[in-house]
Amino acid sequence: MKRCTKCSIDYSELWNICLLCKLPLAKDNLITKVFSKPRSGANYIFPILEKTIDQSDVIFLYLDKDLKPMMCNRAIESITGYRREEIFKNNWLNLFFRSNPSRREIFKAVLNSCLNSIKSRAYEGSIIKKDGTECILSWRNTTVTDASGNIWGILCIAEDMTEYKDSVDNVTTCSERLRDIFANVKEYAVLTANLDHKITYYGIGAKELFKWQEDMTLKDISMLFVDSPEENLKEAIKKSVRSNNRFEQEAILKRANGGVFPAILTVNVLFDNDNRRSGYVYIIRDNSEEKRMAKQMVQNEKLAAMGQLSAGVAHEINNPLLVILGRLDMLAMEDEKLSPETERTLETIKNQAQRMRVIIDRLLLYSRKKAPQMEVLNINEVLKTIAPLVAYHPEFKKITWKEDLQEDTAEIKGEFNQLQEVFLNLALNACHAMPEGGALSISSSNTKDGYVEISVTDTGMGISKENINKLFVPFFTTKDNGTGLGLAICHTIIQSHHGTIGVESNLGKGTVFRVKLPINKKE
Amino acid sequence: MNGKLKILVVDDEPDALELFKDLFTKKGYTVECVPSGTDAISFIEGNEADAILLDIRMPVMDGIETLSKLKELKPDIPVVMLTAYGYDDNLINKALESGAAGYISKNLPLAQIVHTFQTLLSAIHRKK
Repeated sequence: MKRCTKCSIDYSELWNICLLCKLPLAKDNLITKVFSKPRSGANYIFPILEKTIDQSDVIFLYLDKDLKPMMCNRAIESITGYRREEIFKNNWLNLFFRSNPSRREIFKAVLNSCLNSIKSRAYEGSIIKKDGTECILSWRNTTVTDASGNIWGILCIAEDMTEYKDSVDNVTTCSERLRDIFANVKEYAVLTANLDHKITYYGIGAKELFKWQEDMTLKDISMLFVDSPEENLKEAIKKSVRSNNRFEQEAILKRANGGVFPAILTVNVLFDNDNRRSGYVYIIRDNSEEKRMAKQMVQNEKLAAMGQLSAGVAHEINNPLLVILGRLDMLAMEDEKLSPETERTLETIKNQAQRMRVIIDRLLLYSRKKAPQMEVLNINEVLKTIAPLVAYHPEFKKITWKEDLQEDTAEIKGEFNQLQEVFLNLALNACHAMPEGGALSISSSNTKDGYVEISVTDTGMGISKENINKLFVPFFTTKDNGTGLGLAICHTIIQSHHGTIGVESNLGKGTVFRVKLPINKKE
Repeated sequence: MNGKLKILVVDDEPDALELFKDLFTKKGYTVECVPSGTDAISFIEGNEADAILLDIRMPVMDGIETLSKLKELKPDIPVVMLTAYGYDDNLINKALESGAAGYISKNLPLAQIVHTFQTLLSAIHRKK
């Protein structure tokens, strides 16, 4: 019990300040000492309480044990559109649930359960407003009892949730849409995982990237990883997300078919509405193409630098060499007879000097800055000239020559002689790779991405892994008397034709060189 | 007829210069040698020559620049360019545009160099 020290009105424990005097209420123990005549506060408190309740924008509906409304506030009018009298006079439940008797029975059951168990019961559902539209109400129904536990009735408090529901619906549609987008991204593999890093969801990107056939839901994410002994990727991810909420690294990942590829792997923590960790989102991008391009670029730069160096060296050696060869010529012009031994010596010097000349000529050819004299041509015309040229070489005798030149091969732009040199070189290399004989096939066709592809395939000894990367580097050769410039020259020529040259080889089975040249665009 | 002709050889490489001097002397020419474009111009200001063999690549004043200056001074003297590079099309074209009578690759055997030079000169003389 509390009492106002000024007006002596009694209040219950609920109150803190006197509604009339606005003064703090005195506690129980003070009351007996100070006051002799307590006054009932009901007359003063009720109007204020009524006003407070009436002005609330939440429905206050007080029902008796028969669920008849004893009191309701103004909010019921503004929310449902019914006037208070209409609710009092009619069966309000029939009004609110007029088109849905089953829902009405459910709601009635909730209220009765309240009365029976003397517990609050919540209910959320739509009612029909007077204008026929629906509104969603969130009910909190509480049994009201006297001090000895006798039931007086039920206080129903209801809040209009219609707008909130609309926004929740929007959020749902929005998240459904996000899920759709997420599922359809093809460029990235997007996956979600639970806190144990088990896959909970993935889109088409992941399916295609990892070539999954079966459902991977709840499989452990670590099945994607190829772990090197010194690094356990899953542990690294766990550690990083624990401290930074995120992880990003280049990693080697595994497809369902066992193939591996380099990828950029990003992991972010997913948080729920209460800001608790609920899982992880993995975003994976295949970067093998980028890596290949970067490698190619480094290779091209290296070859260009070697080209410049070769040109410089060739020019420098050329002058002394011409003096040496010139002087040897001068000696030959002398009338004086030389001893056979001196002549032999001079012959050797001349042969060796001429060999140097050949190397220098090849070097200059390799490093030449001269742009090809481009004309529109069909590569098949070039390729048809190769067999007769190779036929002069003794190695050719043991070779079965196959030509598969597609008639519809598109026209390209290039210099006939330079391209002829490339394919002659490739064909001769192929012959050299098959000293015991074999099959050499040249084919041409159009690719889907706007190129003409020419492949030169042999069934020879193949090229080892450590050698394959050095093939186009000048002076690299595995032949006893090769200059190591043939493929370097091919590379330079194809590059100046805006094309690419690549090689695949199986040791002991054979090698295929693929040249791609851009199709001529008709203006 | 060769004995009467005086040729000037311009090359920055002393050994190459000496080689050409010996070669053309042996073939009956009077040979004068200078090691640079500037020297070639000073020589031609005070002397006559029937033909000039001029290296296309030289430091300081290169063959093309020397050629243009020589042509300003003595437009009638035929100048034959010496090239070491079989693929230097741009320089050769520039030289021909600037009035060179022709060009010979230094990479050829000596006999061919002399032959090409003689063929070029007699063609020029026939025109005159």
